Amino acid sequence: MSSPPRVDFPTSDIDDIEMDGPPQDGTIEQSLSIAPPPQRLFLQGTPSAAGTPARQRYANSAVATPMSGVTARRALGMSTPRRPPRTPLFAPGSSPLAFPSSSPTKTPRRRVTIDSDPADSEPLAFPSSPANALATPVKNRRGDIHSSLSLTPTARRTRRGDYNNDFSDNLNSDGTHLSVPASSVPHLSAPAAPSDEPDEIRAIWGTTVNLAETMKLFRDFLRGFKPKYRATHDRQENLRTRTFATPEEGEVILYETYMRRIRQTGETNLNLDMINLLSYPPCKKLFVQLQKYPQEVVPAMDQVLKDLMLELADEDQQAGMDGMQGDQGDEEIADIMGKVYKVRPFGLTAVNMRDLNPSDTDKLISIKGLVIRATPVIPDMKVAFFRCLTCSHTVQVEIDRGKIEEPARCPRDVCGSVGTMSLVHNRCEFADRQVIRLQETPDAVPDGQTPHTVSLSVYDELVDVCKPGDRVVVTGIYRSVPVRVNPRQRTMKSLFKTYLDVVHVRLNAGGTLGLDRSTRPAGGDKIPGIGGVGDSADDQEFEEDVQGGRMRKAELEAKLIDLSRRHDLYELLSRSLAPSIWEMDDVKKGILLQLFGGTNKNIARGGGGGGPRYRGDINVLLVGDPGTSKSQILQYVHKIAPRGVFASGKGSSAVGLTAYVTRDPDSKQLVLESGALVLSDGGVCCIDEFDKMSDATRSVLHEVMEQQTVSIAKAGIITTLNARTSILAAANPVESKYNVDLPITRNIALPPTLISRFDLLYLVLDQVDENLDRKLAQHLVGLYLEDAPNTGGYDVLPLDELSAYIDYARTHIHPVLSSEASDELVASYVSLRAIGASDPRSSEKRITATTRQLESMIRLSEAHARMRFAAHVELEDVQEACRLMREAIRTSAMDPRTGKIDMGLLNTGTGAGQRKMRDDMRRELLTMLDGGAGKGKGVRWGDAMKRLGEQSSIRVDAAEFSEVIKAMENEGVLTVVGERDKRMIRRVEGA
Amino acid sequence: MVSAFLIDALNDPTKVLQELYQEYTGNIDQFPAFVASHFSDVFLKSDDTLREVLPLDVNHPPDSYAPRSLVRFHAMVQDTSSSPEMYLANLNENKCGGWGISQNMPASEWPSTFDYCDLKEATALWAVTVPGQTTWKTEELAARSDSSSSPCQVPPQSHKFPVPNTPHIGVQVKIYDNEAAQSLKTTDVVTFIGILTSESLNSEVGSSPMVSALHVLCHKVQSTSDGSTTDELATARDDLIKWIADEALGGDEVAAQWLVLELSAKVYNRATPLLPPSITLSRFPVPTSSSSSALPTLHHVLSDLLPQHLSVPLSLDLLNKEKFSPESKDEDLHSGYLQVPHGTTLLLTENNVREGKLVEKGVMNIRAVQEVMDAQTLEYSFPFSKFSFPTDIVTIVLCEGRKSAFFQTGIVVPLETQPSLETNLYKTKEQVKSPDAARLAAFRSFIATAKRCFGTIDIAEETSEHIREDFVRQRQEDKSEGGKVTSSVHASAGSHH
Repeated sequence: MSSPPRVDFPTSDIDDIEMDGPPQDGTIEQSLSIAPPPQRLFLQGTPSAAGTPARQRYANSAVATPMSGVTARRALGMSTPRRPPRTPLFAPGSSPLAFPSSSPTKTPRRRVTIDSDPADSEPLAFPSSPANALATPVKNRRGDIHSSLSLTPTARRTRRGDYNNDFSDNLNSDGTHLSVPASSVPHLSAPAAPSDEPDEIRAIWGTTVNLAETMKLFRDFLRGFKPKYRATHDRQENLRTRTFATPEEGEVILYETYMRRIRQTGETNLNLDMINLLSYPPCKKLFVQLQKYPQEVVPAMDQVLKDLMLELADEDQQAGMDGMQGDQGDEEIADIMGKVYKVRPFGLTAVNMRDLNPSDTDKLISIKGLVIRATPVIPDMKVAFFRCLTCSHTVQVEIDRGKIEEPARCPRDVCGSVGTMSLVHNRCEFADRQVIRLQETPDAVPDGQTPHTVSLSVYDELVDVCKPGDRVVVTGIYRSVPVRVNPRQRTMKSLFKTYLDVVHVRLNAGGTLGLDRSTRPAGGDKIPGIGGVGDSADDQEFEEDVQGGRMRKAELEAKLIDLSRRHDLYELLSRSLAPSIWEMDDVKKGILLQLFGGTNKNIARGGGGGGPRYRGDINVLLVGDPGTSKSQILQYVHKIAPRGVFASGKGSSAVGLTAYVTRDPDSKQLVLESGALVLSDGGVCCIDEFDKMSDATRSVLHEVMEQQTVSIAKAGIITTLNARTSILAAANPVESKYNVDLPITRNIALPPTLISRFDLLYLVLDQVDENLDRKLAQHLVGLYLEDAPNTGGYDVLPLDELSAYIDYARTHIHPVLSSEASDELVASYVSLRAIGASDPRSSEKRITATTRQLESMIRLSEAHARMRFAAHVELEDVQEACRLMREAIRTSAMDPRTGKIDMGLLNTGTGAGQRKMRDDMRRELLTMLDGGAGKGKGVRWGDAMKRLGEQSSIRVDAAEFSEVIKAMENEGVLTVVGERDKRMIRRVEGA
Repeated sequence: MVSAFLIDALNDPTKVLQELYQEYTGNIDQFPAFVASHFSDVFLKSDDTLREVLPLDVNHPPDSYAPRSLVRFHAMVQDTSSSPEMYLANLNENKCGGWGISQNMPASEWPSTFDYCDLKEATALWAVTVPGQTTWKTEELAARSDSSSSPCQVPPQSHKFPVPNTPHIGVQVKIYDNEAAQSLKTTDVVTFIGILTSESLNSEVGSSPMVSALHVLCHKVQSTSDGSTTDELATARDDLIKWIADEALGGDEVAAQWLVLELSAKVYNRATPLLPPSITLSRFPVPTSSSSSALPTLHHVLSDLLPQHLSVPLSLDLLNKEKFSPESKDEDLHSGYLQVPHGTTLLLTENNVREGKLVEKGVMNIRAVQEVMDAQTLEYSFPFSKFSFPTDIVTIVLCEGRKSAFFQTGIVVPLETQPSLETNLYKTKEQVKSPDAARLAAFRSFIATAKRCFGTIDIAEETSEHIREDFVRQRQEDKSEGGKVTSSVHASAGSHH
């Protein structure tokens, strides 16, 4: 019920002003309205216009409609009072008498007079009119602007001027052919025009800014800007420009399309890329003005936008555009008239918040940061409503720089009593406001410093757009306000607090690998309100151009695409991953593919809720000897994927993060027993010491790794949380060191159900090999001797580029299987199954293929295709995926009979020379055995070595020799009998 | 002339400042820098002039000074995250508005209109007494014999001091010379000279507590490389080892030697991490009931030797409740034990740990310490982000068992005490037999010099060859050795020279 009164009230005021205006100052002021819109617009719009006010949020907008209604009706010669059309819309309470707080005699009367005849209202309304002038140009009510155009009560005239601007579109036309006093009003002053009021001059601040001109410029801009201007501009700045598909594309009047869209979608916000202003030659000046005097220029722009919205709507109606014909069009227009349109500029280069200084006060600036705190919505008084206790005269006062000036005395000359003005709370107007604390992002903080924070005030639609934790780029007006020492005192302190009145928010300006966007529902992250229409909102490309970084982004993108065309891409990327870690190429490749990930899929036609979701996340387990840099790899991945969480299995328990200290009874030594599982949705969760995790904790992982959810059923809460994460885990074998005498499964000792959930399982074994050790030691000592680290650092991608590459691929590339690839997948799977099935005895000892492995292969192939920036999964992707899976579990090195890994077969780091030497040794040995020497009986171990040594120019290494023997033994070419020194090497006959 | 200015400045710094302002004709933006250089010339040129300024320390708390007196404060920067403060730089009648002058003006004198161009920024940060600064160092800095003044209580913002429940001074420092202030980092040790006032902590919140504020005229960052070399270093070394061994380590000279090596270590290179190794002295007996002093004698000995030294008697309670790494809560950076200046030695004793439960916080604390040991970095937690800051802390762990229950240190030295000296392990401060002052000074200087020289010594080719061979041999013998050994061997080799 409260809305009708609010709406009604200003109406009357305005009428008053309008009526009073000319007689009062008598000056003919320049009209701001640039082009009087055709009148029919208002005439036809009348009936519905009268009905709309209820919807309005702002009084001023409401003002527009009834006014036009009146005038229009008059123009039509309608004599019906305005009320009848409205009553059906409002409940009976809408009658003027319904506002309890206003004096029943005044306001209604005024309105009544208006209804009957505007001219009558003059004498009656006069006393209160100046004070009530509030009238409010549309834009001045924007919480974020606090335009000084309507700053103080003394600026009344300004306001009136504004008001006229507002209505110039509708009033003008009426005025021109009506002889009511109102007719002269349309030509009232623009606030820009210097008037006799000093306040107003201050508002324009002795600058060259002529508001009328500004408005005209912006109008031209909206009417004339074409994408081709932007393209030209970008080209001049040496930026990558988007190529237009057709020449026509560059010729579209961009903002007219946007405005139509605004009309169709019922939006009220237009996002304006300020770079566009800059690239439109006539508007270069406007760009500077907007940056320097946003308080004045933005409301002017809002006004122009509204004018043009109406104009455009009218044109469209005349043109008989779809959805704009006849009554429908009238309705649209009425709707537009009732709305408050807001231009939300953005596109300034974001500065560091440390660089803000007092000289930026009241200017438009842009900063980026991390939201750390947001208050609940605060009702922010925009217009205070005062009533004189003596004469019941009412005054409205607008907020100015966060303060409301309480009138000291009743402004009515007749009354003039001091200190009688009291605030009428429920007649005041409030806006939604929220205070946000924005903290510097880690990359912006200078070395060794702690991050700074600034306060942001966001209003209306922008409230609740960002949540704590979001990275945002905000554009706003920088304010410095004196601090009140004591809120109850009126004295100020010479300290100032600074904050930003935000006009535009852009979310998610994160630079590095963010969360996996495919895990979020489409459009789910889209924020209502911020969207608006205009540059960016629906522009997919905008996702990419971080403010100010637009050029860099574009360059980067080109660079990434270039990169993706390199033939050694795969090697390059895997080399760049943890470049300080030596060798382990296959492990790096596997992890690389994990970072790219497969595509998440939903089977839309499945059962309820869109069917099951197939995970695209690849899980990797590294099992291996201590000291094989597993943890370092994990740390590296953690670094490259900031969303990732690093947890040590040893420090984790299912319950949370708890640990227990006990004293070992034997050694009296304190022992730490603990168990953390922290999951990261849409990222990579790195778990070190996986084997040391308690079973209870690990069991949680079962669900996480396949269904990607965590179900909780405790303390009366039964819920399922999302945990869409890839897991990278590292574990030691059961006996800390890999025991070659046991089958793989027993060495790993994780339940097969869990193992099968890992797409890739790497055995990272530490082979003792003198040559290798020597090289490694040399490498390590070398690191310490010199300053320049030799991290295999030839031609590797820096960390940020690598993560940018991955991020880009994850966001943009969603490969699908080609038929060729799917055939190959099927074939590979069948052959994998066949190995497992061929020997039933061994099945328990080896990791067998299940359908999960098939899915793994699909994911890996997808990841590989994604890495190539390919739209389709090709044959090569599948082949690489299969190779990786085979390599991962060392199937090539596994004894098929026993399920044991044959250390001798592992050739990690074995150089080609060494392999050749072994081949030579093997050949010689065979000749020796086949030759006369030990035919049948075989050769003694020591003798064989000795003889080989005699033949060879280099020393025969005992370890090498035994490796060769072992390999040959495995092949069944020879056997070894006896122990130690008495060992005999025998040729197996017939082999 | 200078001395006259000095005396004026000591007596009434505000007046001197006003005079400077009135004479100053340059750009108002440059005025703070001008003031800084002016006062630096007067006070910071030599130690003597510096000592003319009254010290602000635990023995001379802010309460003991009149408002707006000139003090010097040797402090550690604890928190640089507070927003810069805006002040009106130019008041009516061309008066200077900075350095707290305008803030303390009565409301009646507040100019009714002001120009936004006169608004300037001042950097605000929080500084505390250098944590772990040992008594002798404090006295040396104060250079005043009168310790008569009342020792201060724990001030209100005590969560901003790394060591809980310890008397210290915490002051909000306002630096008007922004460019110079930009280079100050957390844990930097700085000598500030400025005007002491008392203000409410957060001007934007009505009910924030009153804290001491120091309006800085000039400041100097302490560099690690100052100090003089004495000649008798060679003899000092052996004596030092003997003294430590006999007084604090039950006669174990090998352990003492390790300890001295450890004390002289510092971060040499971060790019290819060459960091000070951490050391565990294992088999360190628990205190017998008779000597109830919880802190080992080693604590007192180290306090006598080092400028900054902190002992943390670990217990489950302490691990579970206290903070080790700094954390920002409600935009206020709470300190933790590990937020100490570069070059601090941390002595962790595990002898108070009993059986019981270590909660999440405890686990995190242990991890933070381990991170400092391994990588010499400390993570500060901020909402939604963590920042890693470099540290340079030498850690010594004392434990009873074969190895530390919580930490993996680079070096583990089992203590072998001589039975006759075992009672020496736990003594009160009074029982420690200190050498004469000159000798003690020589010891201090030896450690300081060793630390300074650390890493400047080239490792000869044969040494490096030796290390390499040694590594390969070790690998052959024990297959579980990783690459870490090299680094510690290497680091200690560096220290030996």
